[in-house]
Amino acid sequence: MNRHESCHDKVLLASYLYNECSDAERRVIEEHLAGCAACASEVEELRSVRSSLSQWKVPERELGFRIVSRQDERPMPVISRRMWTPPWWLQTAAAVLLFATAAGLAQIEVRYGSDGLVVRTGWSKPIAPAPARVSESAPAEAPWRQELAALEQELRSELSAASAARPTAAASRPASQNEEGLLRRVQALIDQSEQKQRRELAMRLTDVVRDVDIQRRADQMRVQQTFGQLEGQTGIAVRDNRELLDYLVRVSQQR
Amino acid sequence: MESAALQMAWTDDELVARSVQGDTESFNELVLRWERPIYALAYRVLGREDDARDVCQDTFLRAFRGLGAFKGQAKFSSWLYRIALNLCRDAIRRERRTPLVAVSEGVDVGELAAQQPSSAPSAEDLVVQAELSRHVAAAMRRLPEEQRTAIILKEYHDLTFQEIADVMGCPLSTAKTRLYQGLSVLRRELIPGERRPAEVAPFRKVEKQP
Repeated sequence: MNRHESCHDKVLLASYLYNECSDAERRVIEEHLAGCAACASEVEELRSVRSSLSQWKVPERELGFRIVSRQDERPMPVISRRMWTPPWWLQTAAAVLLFATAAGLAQIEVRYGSDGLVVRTGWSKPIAPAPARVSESAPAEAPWRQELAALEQELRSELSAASAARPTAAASRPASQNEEGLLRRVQALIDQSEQKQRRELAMRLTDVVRDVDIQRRADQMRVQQTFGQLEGQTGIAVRDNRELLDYLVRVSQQR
Repeated sequence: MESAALQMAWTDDELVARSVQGDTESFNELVLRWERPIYALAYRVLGREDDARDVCQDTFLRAFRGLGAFKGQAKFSSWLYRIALNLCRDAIRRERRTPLVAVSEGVDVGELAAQQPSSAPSAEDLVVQAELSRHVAAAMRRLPEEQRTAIILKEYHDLTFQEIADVMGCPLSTAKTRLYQGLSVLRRELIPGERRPAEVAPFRKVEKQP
Protein backbone atom coordinates (compact mmCIF):
# COMPACT_ATOMS: atom_id res chain seq x y z
CA MET A 1 0.00 0.00 0.00
CA ASN A 2 1.50 3.32 -0.96
CA ARG A 3 0.95 6.63 0.73
CA HIS A 4 -1.76 7.78 -1.60
CA GLU A 5 -3.92 4.67 -1.16
CA SER A 6 -3.55 4.72 2.58
CA CYS A 7 -4.63 8.36 2.82
CA HIS A 8 -7.86 7.52 1.15
CA ASP A 9 -8.49 4.09 2.54
CA LYS A 10 -10.91 5.22 5.20
CA VAL A 11 -12.31 1.74 5.54
CA LEU A 12 -8.94 0.50 6.66
CA LEU A 13 -8.42 3.48 8.95
CA ALA A 14 -11.78 2.78 10.61
CA SER A 15 -10.73 -0.82 11.25
CA TYR A 16 -7.44 0.42 12.64
CA LEU A 17 -9.13 2.95 14.88
CA TYR A 18 -11.28 0.26 16.47
CA ASN A 19 -8.65 -2.46 16.56
CA GLU A 20 -10.48 -4.58 14.04
CA CYS A 21 -7.70 -5.04 11.56
CA SER A 22 -5.23 -7.85 11.09
CA ASP A 23 -1.65 -7.55 12.33
CA ALA A 24 -0.45 -7.16 8.77
CA GLU A 25 -2.89 -4.30 8.15
CA ARG A 26 -1.86 -2.67 11.38
CA ARG A 27 1.81 -2.72 10.41
CA VAL A 28 1.07 -1.15 7.05
CA ILE A 29 -1.02 1.62 8.62
CA GLU A 30 1.47 2.39 11.37
CA GLU A 31 4.26 2.60 8.80
CA HIS A 32 2.20 5.04 6.82
CA LEU A 33 1.26 7.14 9.85
CA ALA A 34 4.92 7.42 10.78
CA GLY A 35 5.57 9.13 7.46
CA CYS A 36 2.32 11.08 6.90
CA ALA A 37 1.76 13.94 9.35
CA ALA A 38 -1.73 14.71 8.00
CA CYS A 39 -2.98 11.15 8.51
CA ALA A 40 -1.25 10.88 11.90
CA SER A 41 -2.95 14.08 13.02
CA GLU A 42 -6.26 12.87 11.64
CA VAL A 43 -6.09 9.59 13.55
CA GLU A 44 -5.10 11.47 16.69
CA GLU A 45 -8.07 13.79 16.37
CA LEU A 46 -10.45 10.95 15.67
CA ARG A 47 -9.27 9.35 18.90
CA SER A 48 -10.02 12.61 20.61
CA VAL A 49 -13.50 12.59 19.07
CA ARG A 50 -14.04 9.11 20.43
CA SER A 51 -13.02 10.36 23.85
CA SER A 52 -15.55 13.21 23.55
CA LEU A 53 -18.23 10.74 22.55
CA SER A 54 -17.72 8.90 25.81
CA GLN A 55 -19.06 12.00 27.54
CA TRP A 56 -22.51 11.55 26.10
CA LYS A 57 -24.54 10.14 28.92
CA VAL A 58 -27.99 8.64 28.81
CA PRO A 59 -30.28 9.90 31.57
CA GLU A 60 -31.22 7.30 34.16
CA ARG A 61 -34.71 6.09 33.74
CA GLU A 62 -36.87 3.56 35.51
CA LEU A 63 -37.81 0.91 32.96
CA GLY A 64 -38.87 -2.40 34.49
CA PHE A 65 -40.72 -3.82 31.50
CA ARG A 66 -42.26 -7.22 31.95
CA ILE A 67 -44.03 -9.49 29.58
CA VAL A 68 -47.07 -10.92 31.28
CA SER A 69 -48.74 -13.91 29.71
CA ARG A 70 -52.49 -13.96 29.65
CA GLN A 71 -53.00 -16.64 32.24
CA ASP A 72 -50.59 -14.72 34.48
CA GLU A 73 -52.36 -11.47 33.86
CA ARG A 74 -55.04 -12.33 36.36
CA PRO A 75 -53.10 -14.04 39.11
CA MET A 76 -54.75 -16.69 41.26
CA PRO A 77 -55.69 -14.53 44.24
CA VAL A 78 -57.58 -12.13 42.02
CA ILE A 79 -59.30 -14.89 40.11
CA SER A 80 -60.25 -16.77 43.26
CA ARG A 81 -61.49 -13.57 44.83
CA ARG A 82 -63.50 -12.80 41.74
CA MET A 83 -64.97 -16.32 41.86
CA TRP A 84 -66.05 -15.87 45.45
CA THR A 85 -67.48 -12.42 45.01
CA PRO A 86 -71.20 -12.76 45.62
CA PRO A 87 -73.77 -10.97 43.44
CA TRP A 88 -74.74 -7.42 44.41
CA TRP A 89 -78.04 -8.34 46.00
CA LEU A 90 -76.33 -10.86 48.25
CA GLN A 91 -73.68 -8.29 49.11
CA THR A 92 -76.38 -5.78 49.98
CA ALA A 93 -78.20 -8.31 52.12
CA ALA A 94 -74.97 -9.20 53.87
CA ALA A 95 -74.23 -5.52 54.42
CA VAL A 96 -77.65 -4.96 55.97
CA LEU A 97 -77.24 -8.01 58.17
CA LEU A 98 -73.75 -6.94 59.18
CA PHE A 99 -74.95 -3.45 59.95
CA ALA A 100 -77.86 -4.78 61.98
CA THR A 101 -75.54 -7.05 63.95
CA ALA A 102 -73.07 -4.25 64.54
CA ALA A 103 -75.92 -1.98 65.55
CA GLY A 104 -77.17 -4.65 67.92
CA LEU A 105 -73.73 -5.08 69.46
CA ALA A 106 -73.23 -1.37 69.83
CA GLN A 107 -76.78 -1.05 71.13
CA ILE A 108 -77.63 1.29 68.34
CA GLU A 109 -81.18 2.21 67.80
CA VAL A 110 -82.08 3.12 64.27
CA ARG A 111 -85.48 4.55 63.74
CA TYR A 112 -87.03 6.23 60.78
CA GLY A 113 -89.82 8.49 61.97
CA SER A 114 -91.49 11.77 61.30
CA ASP A 115 -88.38 13.52 62.56
CA GLY A 116 -86.24 11.73 59.97
CA LEU A 117 -83.61 9.04 60.45
CA VAL A 118 -82.63 8.74 64.09
CA VAL A 119 -79.56 6.81 65.13
CA ARG A 120 -78.93 6.42 68.82
CA THR A 121 -76.34 4.47 70.70
CA GLY A 122 -77.42 2.39 73.67
CA TRP A 123 -75.78 4.86 75.99
CA SER A 124 -77.96 7.76 75.17
CA LYS A 125 -80.76 5.31 74.93
CA PRO A 126 -84.08 6.10 76.20
CA ILE A 127 -87.32 6.76 74.76
CA ALA A 128 -87.85 9.59 77.21
CA PRO A 129 -84.50 11.29 77.69
CA ALA A 130 -85.35 13.51 80.69
CA PRO A 131 -86.44 10.81 83.14
CA ALA A 132 -83.55 8.69 81.98
CA ARG A 133 -81.11 11.30 83.15
CA VAL A 134 -82.74 11.24 86.56
CA SER A 135 -82.64 7.48 86.78
CA GLU A 136 -79.07 7.55 85.50
CA SER A 137 -77.99 9.81 88.31
CA ALA A 138 -80.19 8.05 90.86
CA PRO A 139 -77.89 5.11 91.56
CA ALA A 140 -75.05 7.54 92.06
CA GLU A 141 -77.14 9.68 94.37
CA ALA A 142 -78.55 6.87 96.50
CA PRO A 143 -75.34 5.85 98.28
CA TRP A 144 -74.60 9.49 98.94
CA ARG A 145 -77.93 9.92 100.71
CA GLN A 146 -77.38 6.79 102.70
CA GLU A 147 -73.90 7.85 103.68
CA LEU A 148 -75.08 11.29 104.63
CA ALA A 149 -77.87 9.80 106.71
CA ALA A 150 -75.37 7.52 108.41
CA LEU A 151 -73.06 10.45 109.04
CA GLU A 152 -75.93 12.49 110.44
CA GLN A 153 -76.83 9.64 112.67
CA GLU A 154 -73.25 9.30 113.80
CA LEU A 155 -72.96 12.98 114.45
CA ARG A 156 -76.19 13.01 116.39
CA SER A 157 -75.04 10.17 118.61
CA GLU A 158 -71.72 11.95 119.06
CA LEU A 159 -73.63 15.12 119.82
CA SER A 160 -75.76 13.46 122.42
CA ALA A 161 -72.68 11.80 123.89
CA ALA A 162 -70.92 15.11 123.93
CA SER A 163 -73.83 16.93 125.47
CA ALA A 164 -73.82 14.28 128.15
CA ALA A 165 -70.08 14.49 128.76
CA ARG A 166 -69.36 18.21 128.28
CA PRO A 167 -71.30 19.57 131.22
CA THR A 168 -69.08 17.63 133.57
CA ALA A 169 -65.97 18.60 131.70
CA ALA A 170 -66.93 22.29 131.68
CA ALA A 171 -69.03 22.54 134.73
CA SER A 172 -68.12 26.19 135.34
CA ARG A 173 -69.65 27.28 132.03
CA PRO A 174 -73.38 27.80 131.66
CA ALA A 175 -74.93 24.78 129.97
CA SER A 176 -76.96 26.74 127.43
CA GLN A 177 -73.89 28.60 126.15
CA ASN A 178 -71.94 25.37 126.00
CA GLU A 179 -74.63 23.62 124.04
CA GLU A 180 -75.14 26.51 121.66
CA GLY A 181 -71.45 26.53 120.72
CA LEU A 182 -71.46 22.82 120.28
CA LEU A 183 -74.48 22.98 118.02
CA ARG A 184 -72.78 25.58 115.87
CA ARG A 185 -69.72 23.39 115.57
CA VAL A 186 -71.85 20.39 114.69
CA GLN A 187 -73.71 22.46 112.12
CA ALA A 188 -70.39 23.49 110.64
CA LEU A 189 -69.30 19.86 110.57
CA ILE A 190 -72.48 18.86 108.82
CA ASP A 191 -72.01 21.66 106.30
CA GLN A 192 -68.46 20.53 105.64
CA SER A 193 -69.61 16.97 105.25
CA GLU A 194 -72.31 18.01 102.85
CA GLN A 195 -69.81 19.96 100.79
CA LYS A 196 -67.53 16.96 100.75
CA GLN A 197 -70.34 14.72 99.67
CA ARG A 198 -71.33 17.12 96.94
CA ARG A 199 -67.77 17.11 95.65
CA GLU A 200 -67.75 13.33 95.69
CA LEU A 201 -71.04 13.26 93.89
CA ALA A 202 -69.74 15.67 91.32
CA MET A 203 -66.67 13.49 90.84
CA ARG A 204 -68.74 10.34 90.50
CA LEU A 205 -71.01 12.03 88.01
CA THR A 206 -67.94 13.12 86.07
CA ASP A 207 -66.69 9.54 86.08
CA VAL A 208 -70.00 8.26 84.84
CA VAL A 209 -70.14 10.90 82.11
CA ARG A 210 -66.56 10.06 81.08
CA ASP A 211 -67.31 6.34 80.97
CA VAL A 212 -70.36 7.00 78.86
CA ASP A 213 -68.31 9.18 76.57
CA ILE A 214 -65.54 6.58 76.18
CA GLN A 215 -68.08 3.88 75.43
CA ARG A 216 -69.83 6.14 72.96
CA ARG A 217 -66.57 6.82 71.13
CA ALA A 218 -65.71 3.13 71.07
CA ASP A 219 -69.10 2.43 69.59
CA GLN A 220 -68.68 5.16 67.01
CA MET A 221 -65.32 3.75 66.01
CA ARG A 222 -66.74 0.28 65.71
CA VAL A 223 -69.53 1.56 63.53
CA GLN A 224 -67.07 3.54 61.39
CA GLN A 225 -64.86 0.47 61.03
CA THR A 226 -67.81 -1.56 59.93
CA PHE A 227 -68.69 1.06 57.36
CA GLY A 228 -65.02 1.22 56.33
CA GLN A 229 -64.99 -2.52 55.70
CA LEU A 230 -68.11 -2.23 53.62
CA GLU A 231 -66.57 0.61 51.62
CA GLY A 232 -63.34 -1.38 51.25
CA GLN A 233 -65.25 -4.30 49.81
CA THR A 234 -66.96 -1.98 47.37
CA GLY A 235 -63.56 -0.46 46.48
CA ILE A 236 -62.07 -3.88 45.77
CA ALA A 237 -64.99 -4.75 43.56
CA VAL A 238 -64.57 -1.46 41.66
CA ARG A 239 -60.83 -2.06 41.29
CA ASP A 240 -61.38 -5.58 40.04
CA ASN A 241 -63.77 -4.24 37.44
CA ARG A 242 -61.28 -1.58 36.41
CA GLU A 243 -58.50 -4.19 36.07
CA LEU A 244 -60.77 -6.32 33.97
CA LEU A 245 -61.62 -3.31 31.78
CA ASP A 246 -57.92 -2.40 31.41
CA TYR A 247 -57.19 -5.94 30.45
CA LEU A 248 -59.95 -5.97 27.87
CA VAL A 249 -58.75 -2.65 26.43
CA ARG A 250 -55.17 -3.95 26.22
CA VAL A 251 -56.24 -7.15 24.57
CA SER A 252 -58.42 -5.33 22.08
CA GLN A 253 -55.56 -2.94 21.26
CA GLN A 254 -53.22 -5.82 20.64
CA ARG A 255 -55.54 -7.31 18.09
CA MET B 1 -39.89 -23.11 37.54
CA GLU B 2 -36.10 -22.84 37.87
CA SER B 3 -34.53 -20.50 40.37
CA ALA B 4 -33.71 -16.93 39.42
CA ALA B 5 -30.01 -17.57 40.08
CA LEU B 6 -29.97 -20.40 37.56
CA GLN B 7 -31.88 -18.25 35.09
CA MET B 8 -29.24 -15.54 35.37
CA ALA B 9 -26.52 -18.04 34.49
CA TRP B 10 -28.15 -19.02 31.21
CA THR B 11 -26.98 -17.63 27.91
CA ASP B 12 -29.24 -15.49 25.77
CA ASP B 13 -29.72 -18.36 23.37
CA GLU B 14 -30.79 -20.72 26.15
CA LEU B 15 -33.25 -18.16 27.46
CA VAL B 16 -34.58 -17.61 23.95
CA ALA B 17 -35.10 -21.36 23.53
CA ARG B 18 -37.03 -21.53 26.81
CA SER B 19 -39.05 -18.45 25.88
CA VAL B 20 -40.04 -20.02 22.59
CA GLN B 21 -41.41 -22.95 24.59
CA GLY B 22 -43.61 -20.52 26.47
CA ASP B 23 -41.53 -19.70 29.55
CA THR B 24 -42.39 -16.06 30.04
CA GLU B 25 -39.98 -15.68 32.95
CA SER B 26 -37.06 -16.61 30.74
CA PHE B 27 -38.07 -13.91 28.33
CA ASN B 28 -38.36 -11.46 31.21
CA GLU B 29 -34.78 -12.31 32.15
CA LEU B 30 -33.80 -11.32 28.60
CA VAL B 31 -35.76 -8.09 29.03
CA LEU B 32 -33.89 -7.41 32.24
CA ARG B 33 -30.56 -7.98 30.49
CA TRP B 34 -31.24 -5.87 27.44
CA GLU B 35 -33.70 -3.13 28.36
CA ARG B 36 -30.99 -0.65 29.37
CA PRO B 37 -28.89 -1.04 26.20
CA ILE B 38 -31.99 -0.88 24.01
CA TYR B 39 -33.24 2.18 25.84
CA ALA B 40 -29.81 3.83 25.53
CA LEU B 41 -29.71 3.07 21.80
CA ALA B 42 -33.19 4.50 21.27
CA TYR B 43 -32.40 7.54 23.41
CA ARG B 44 -29.25 8.33 21.46
CA VAL B 45 -30.92 7.82 18.12
CA LEU B 46 -34.12 9.71 18.98
CA GLY B 47 -32.96 12.17 21.62
CA ARG B 48 -36.13 12.03 23.69
CA GLU B 49 -36.57 9.99 26.82
CA ASP B 50 -40.26 9.24 26.41
CA ASP B 51 -39.89 8.19 22.80
CA ALA B 52 -36.91 6.06 23.73
CA ARG B 53 -38.94 4.37 26.43
CA ASP B 54 -41.77 3.68 24.02
CA VAL B 55 -39.40 2.25 21.45
CA CYS B 56 -37.76 0.13 24.13
CA GLN B 57 -41.09 -1.28 25.26
CA ASP B 58 -42.26 -1.91 21.70
CA THR B 59 -38.97 -3.60 20.87
CA PHE B 60 -39.51 -6.24 23.54
CA LEU B 61 -43.15 -6.66 22.67
CA ARG B 62 -42.29 -7.24 19.03
CA ALA B 63 -39.44 -9.52 19.96
CA PHE B 64 -41.74 -11.57 22.16
CA ARG B 65 -44.37 -11.87 19.48
CA GLY B 66 -41.76 -12.63 16.83
CA LEU B 67 -39.78 -15.19 18.83
CA GLY B 68 -41.01 -17.92 16.52
CA ALA B 69 -39.46 -16.13 13.56
CA PHE B 70 -36.11 -15.72 15.31
CA LYS B 71 -34.08 -18.66 14.09
CA GLY B 72 -30.91 -17.86 15.90
CA GLN B 73 -29.18 -16.85 12.66
CA ALA B 74 -27.86 -13.75 14.47
CA LYS B 75 -27.16 -12.91 18.08
CA PHE B 76 -30.33 -12.26 20.01
CA SER B 77 -29.00 -8.80 20.92
CA SER B 78 -28.35 -7.97 17.25
CA TRP B 79 -31.88 -9.00 16.47
CA LEU B 80 -33.16 -6.72 19.26
CA TYR B 81 -31.01 -3.83 17.98
CA ARG B 82 -32.43 -4.33 14.53
CA ILE B 83 -36.02 -4.23 15.80
CA ALA B 84 -35.24 -1.17 17.93
CA LEU B 85 -33.61 0.68 15.02
CA ASN B 86 -36.58 -0.03 12.78
CA LEU B 87 -38.88 1.38 15.44
CA CYS B 88 -36.61 4.40 15.81
CA ARG B 89 -36.75 4.96 12.08
CA ASP B 90 -40.56 4.87 12.23
CA ALA B 91 -40.53 7.33 15.11
CA ILE B 92 -38.20 9.68 13.24
CA ARG B 93 -40.41 9.53 10.19
CA ARG B 94 -43.42 10.40 12.32
CA GLU B 95 -41.72 13.24 14.14
CA ARG B 96 -39.65 14.61 11.29
CA ARG B 97 -40.89 18.15 11.68
CA THR B 98 -40.02 18.44 15.36
CA PRO B 99 -36.56 19.88 16.00
CA LEU B 100 -34.48 17.56 18.10
CA VAL B 101 -31.92 19.61 19.96
CA ALA B 102 -31.14 23.00 21.30
CA VAL B 103 -27.67 24.22 22.04
CA SER B 104 -27.20 27.37 24.06
CA GLU B 105 -25.58 30.07 22.03
CA GLY B 106 -22.26 31.62 22.86
CA VAL B 107 -20.69 28.47 24.28
CA ASP B 108 -17.35 27.63 22.78
CA VAL B 109 -17.50 23.91 22.29
CA GLY B 110 -13.84 23.81 21.42
CA GLU B 111 -12.99 25.25 24.79
CA LEU B 112 -15.29 22.81 26.48
CA ALA B 113 -13.66 19.91 24.75
CA ALA B 114 -10.25 21.21 25.69
CA GLN B 115 -11.35 21.44 29.31
CA GLN B 116 -12.22 17.77 29.40
CA PRO B 117 -11.75 16.47 32.93
CA SER B 118 -8.97 13.97 33.40
CA SER B 119 -9.78 11.88 36.45
CA ALA B 120 -11.63 12.81 39.64
CA PRO B 121 -14.38 15.22 38.61
CA SER B 122 -15.07 18.29 40.73
CA ALA B 123 -18.44 20.03 40.75
CA GLU B 124 -17.11 22.30 38.02
CA ASP B 125 -15.94 19.33 36.03
CA LEU B 126 -19.38 17.81 36.29
CA VAL B 127 -20.95 20.96 34.90
CA VAL B 128 -18.45 20.99 32.05
CA GLN B 129 -19.09 17.30 31.51
CA ALA B 130 -22.84 17.86 31.32
CA GLU B 131 -22.30 20.69 28.84
CA LEU B 132 -19.96 18.56 26.81
CA SER B 133 -22.43 15.71 26.86
CA ARG B 134 -25.09 18.07 25.48
CA HIS B 135 -22.77 19.33 22.76
CA VAL B 136 -21.74 15.85 21.73
CA ALA B 137 -25.42 14.94 21.61
CA ALA B 138 -26.16 18.02 19.51
CA ALA B 139 -23.32 17.29 17.10
CA MET B 140 -24.44 13.68 16.79
CA ARG B 141 -28.00 14.70 16.02
CA ARG B 142 -26.88 16.73 13.06
CA LEU B 143 -25.23 13.72 11.45
CA PRO B 144 -27.12 11.80 8.79
CA GLU B 145 -29.08 9.08 10.51
CA GLU B 146 -27.03 6.21 9.09
CA GLN B 147 -23.71 7.69 10.18
CA ARG B 148 -25.11 8.44 13.60
CA THR B 149 -26.47 4.92 14.02
CA ALA B 150 -23.18 3.34 12.97
CA ILE B 151 -21.27 5.45 15.50
CA ILE B 152 -23.79 4.72 18.28
CA LEU B 153 -23.66 0.97 17.69
CA LYS B 154 -19.88 1.02 17.68
CA GLU B 155 -19.13 3.46 20.47
CA TYR B 156 -21.86 2.65 22.98
CA HIS B 157 -22.77 -0.94 22.20
CA ASP B 158 -19.42 -2.40 21.19
CA LEU B 159 -20.75 -4.11 18.09
CA THR B 160 -18.19 -5.35 15.59
CA PHE B 161 -18.31 -3.84 12.12
CA GLN B 162 -19.80 -7.09 10.87
CA GLU B 163 -22.57 -6.90 13.50
CA ILE B 164 -23.22 -3.27 12.58
CA ALA B 165 -23.49 -4.32 8.95
CA ASP B 166 -25.94 -7.07 9.93
CA VAL B 167 -28.05 -4.84 12.13
CA MET B 168 -28.14 -2.04 9.59
CA GLY B 169 -28.55 -4.40 6.69
CA CYS B 170 -25.63 -3.08 4.66
CA PRO B 171 -22.27 -4.39 3.38
CA LEU B 172 -19.37 -4.49 5.82
CA SER B 173 -17.40 -1.81 3.98
CA THR B 174 -20.44 0.47 3.99
CA ALA B 175 -20.71 0.13 7.74
CA LYS B 176 -17.07 1.14 8.11
CA THR B 177 -17.39 4.05 5.70
CA ARG B 178 -20.51 5.39 7.41
CA LEU B 179 -18.78 5.31 10.73
CA TYR B 180 -15.62 6.93 9.46
CA GLN B 181 -17.50 9.68 7.67
CA GLY B 182 -19.52 10.38 10.77
CA LEU B 183 -16.43 10.59 12.92
CA SER B 184 -14.82 12.97 10.44
CA VAL B 185 -17.78 15.34 10.63
CA LEU B 186 -17.69 15.21 14.42
CA ARG B 187 -13.97 15.88 14.30
CA ARG B 188 -14.59 19.16 12.50
CA GLU B 189 -17.27 20.07 15.01
CA LEU B 190 -15.81 18.89 18.26
CA ILE B 191 -12.06 19.25 17.99
CA PRO B 192 -10.71 22.71 18.60
CA GLY B 193 -8.09 23.45 15.98
CA GLU B 194 -6.24 26.63 15.12
CA ARG B 195 -6.19 25.32 11.61
CA ARG B 196 -9.99 25.19 11.41
CA PRO B 197 -11.45 28.15 13.24
CA ALA B 198 -14.20 28.59 10.66
CA GLU B 199 -15.24 24.96 11.01
CA VAL B 200 -15.98 25.26 14.69
CA ALA B 201 -18.27 28.20 14.22
CA PRO B 202 -21.24 26.50 12.54
CA PHE B 203 -21.73 24.47 15.72
CA ARG B 204 -23.28 27.49 17.39
CA LYS B 205 -25.89 27.93 14.76
CA VAL B 206 -28.33 25.33 15.82
CA GLU B 207 -32.04 25.20 15.65
CA LYS B 208 -33.70 26.09 18.90
CA GLN B 209 -36.26 24.09 20.71
CA PRO B 210 -39.72 25.63 20.56
